[in-house]
Amino acid sequence: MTAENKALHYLTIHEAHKLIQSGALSPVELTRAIVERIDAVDGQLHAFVNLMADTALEEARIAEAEILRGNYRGPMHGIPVAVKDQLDVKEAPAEIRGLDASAAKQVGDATAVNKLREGGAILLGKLAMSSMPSEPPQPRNPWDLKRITGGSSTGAGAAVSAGLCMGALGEDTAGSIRNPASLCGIVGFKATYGRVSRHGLAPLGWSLDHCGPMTRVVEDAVHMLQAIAGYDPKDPTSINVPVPEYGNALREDVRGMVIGVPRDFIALCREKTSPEILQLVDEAIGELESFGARIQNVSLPTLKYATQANAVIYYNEHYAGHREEAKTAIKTGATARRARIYFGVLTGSADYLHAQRIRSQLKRECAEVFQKVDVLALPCQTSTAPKFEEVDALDTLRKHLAPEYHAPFNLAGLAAISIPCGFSRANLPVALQLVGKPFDELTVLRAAYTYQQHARWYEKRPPI
Amino acid sequence: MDRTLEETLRALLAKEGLEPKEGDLERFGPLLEQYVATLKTLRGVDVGEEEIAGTFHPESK
Repeated sequence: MTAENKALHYLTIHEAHKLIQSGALSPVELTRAIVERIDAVDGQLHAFVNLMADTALEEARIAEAEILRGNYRGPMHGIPVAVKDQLDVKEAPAEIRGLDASAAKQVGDATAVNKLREGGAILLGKLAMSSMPSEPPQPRNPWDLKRITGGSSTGAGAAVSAGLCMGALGEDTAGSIRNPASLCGIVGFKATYGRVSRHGLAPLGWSLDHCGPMTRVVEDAVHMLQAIAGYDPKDPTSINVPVPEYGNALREDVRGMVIGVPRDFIALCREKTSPEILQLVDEAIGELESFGARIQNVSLPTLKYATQANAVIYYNEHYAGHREEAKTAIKTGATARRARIYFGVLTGSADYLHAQRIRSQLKRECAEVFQKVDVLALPCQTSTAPKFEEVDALDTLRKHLAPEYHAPFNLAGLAAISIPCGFSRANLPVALQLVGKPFDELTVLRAAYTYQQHARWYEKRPPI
Repeated sequence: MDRTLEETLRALLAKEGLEPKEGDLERFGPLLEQYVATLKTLRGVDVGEEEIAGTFHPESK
């Protein structure tokens, strides 16, 4: 299907920006089409917690006028996007589901939001986030409304998948971008820790939180990342390294690329991973090999402890960061919020520091493996999206206490992408995860793009 | 919930000026036991000579 005969709400950023730049598509027309799409289906999906349709249309009119005057800012100009509630947006006070409202130190616009605005993006509103499946209404998975989206960027998963925005900013502390991306059949990318500013992001775990794009295709993740990446003096963990031209990743070429597969770690998680997922991921890795990549088994012994170490650091940093609100939260906070407090209080400083030493060990092992390989490939989920009745409010916390596929790469701070690699027999999305060297997002994106262009799973649409 | 764990948690919460919400310790018992087991597992991980420190990186400004 070409961009010209596709429903406007399902255009990719990559397609829309070319049409906008050439004058063939009006940002107002595009924004209006997406607002209509939201009106039509968000009553079923519950993705938005704060829809800013009026300001979005006004921003679209301003963008259109700028472009008509010849002041085209770049690929995000006139593109309607939405933002996880965890990030500050000046017109929309955070509801911060799962956190206390007081935990959000409102800074106006988060740096990543501000950078999108500077690029000319249109802010549609804020998207649900939740670790509280007991709090209705929860975002629904567009592939099957009886199923969860995965969290905690729940609204972003639903909204991007169903065409309620062209891209979203998510946040990932232990998989919260990649998990909903994999369960909703979209691309979710967290760049290397330090690459994208966390300023204006309500913290879950300072040293683990990553802000990043959630999009329908890799090209769109490239455009969003290009807009939001870069040093920010307002974020003490931001790293001042040059930002590459991510568009260079958009070429179909993995010839000579060495892809490491941590088979022993996958075997450790095999029992709880659906055989369908293992098969589809193996097939995807095989396809990358057929395109010219070399596949090499690698061993990272500390991976097996990395999820738990990530949890210990997460819950301690979360408690420390929200200590002032704990008195209220322990009485009135949601189930998972209270459980996090108990975890944080139970952990001694020696345990926290030991988890940090495990982190150092993992990073050293990763550095050694990345001397031999360019990216790692492994699954991105243990199951397809479960039904609401199959999960409870504490499932996410339980998941953090045993080896799984997301958290190790928060602990190591490495760039990681979730990219659709097929569908289960029940027609639910499955994803491949690719992980890269520190600050080498380009190689991860290039491998993902190459796979995507051959597999073309993005052409499949959810039934809603 | 294991009694020692419950007493420990109550004491730690009190030290922080907190009290558990009624019913939470029963409800969260198995999860909290799992978390404590996780801490014990991690304590058993040999981290050799690994140390952590805040370091300056001249290439970062």
